Amino acid sequence: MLYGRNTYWQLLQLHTAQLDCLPIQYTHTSYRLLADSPTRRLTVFFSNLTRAALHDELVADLSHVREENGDIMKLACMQNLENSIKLDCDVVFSDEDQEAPGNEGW
Amino acid sequence: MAGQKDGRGGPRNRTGRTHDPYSTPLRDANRDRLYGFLTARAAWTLLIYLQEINKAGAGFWTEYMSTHPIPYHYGGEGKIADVSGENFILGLMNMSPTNIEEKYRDNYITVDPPALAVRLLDIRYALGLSQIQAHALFTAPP
Repeated sequence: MLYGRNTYWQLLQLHTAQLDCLPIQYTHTSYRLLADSPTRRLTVFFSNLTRAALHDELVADLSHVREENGDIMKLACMQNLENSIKLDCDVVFSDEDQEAPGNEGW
Repeated sequence: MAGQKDGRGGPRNRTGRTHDPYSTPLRDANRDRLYGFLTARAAWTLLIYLQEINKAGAGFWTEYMSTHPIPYHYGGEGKIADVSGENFILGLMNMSPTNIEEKYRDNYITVDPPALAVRLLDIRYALGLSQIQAHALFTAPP
């Protein structure tokens, strides 16, 4: 029970740099945590794995800023084109809309 | 923007159909926040440049930054396009150049928001490159 779920979550909430100090700190608490416990090893392993994956994704995102800029430029051009077409077509040739059923009292 | 269109190539996989099963949780949110962070820092950098060379442009830029904040989370305070800084840039792109009258002079200065947006994109790209270099230095073997 000492190396159960609660300990695992407490370990997960800690930073990786703090894990090295854990055996020293935890000797003063009610439960003991060994330096070579499988839970600690597993937690450090998964923490490093997640950290490496996040780092790889961060670098991949950073290397795609140029493509992102190009996409935003294309989107802005399309929006400007759309707005210009809307401006050209914004001509009312008749007042038929005012004769709709909802406008008798107008 | 930020990878919402298709899942082909690169890190852009927003939809469930094209989502990479090997990516970490919060993958898309992390990317949106990263681009929003780069956009915000590029905006502050551009503000300093404008304060040095163009006071009217700096005034316009300060007002635009205050009226178009880049939120940290999407949800109640903003959408995904707000977090990634896309709406910040598109709002500039869709504006037209304006003339700002100078005080005590019969003169005006033209502020061109689309040109500022292009400059912002350049600065954002440079900041991204510098971040890549910093990470390469950080992770380099001793």
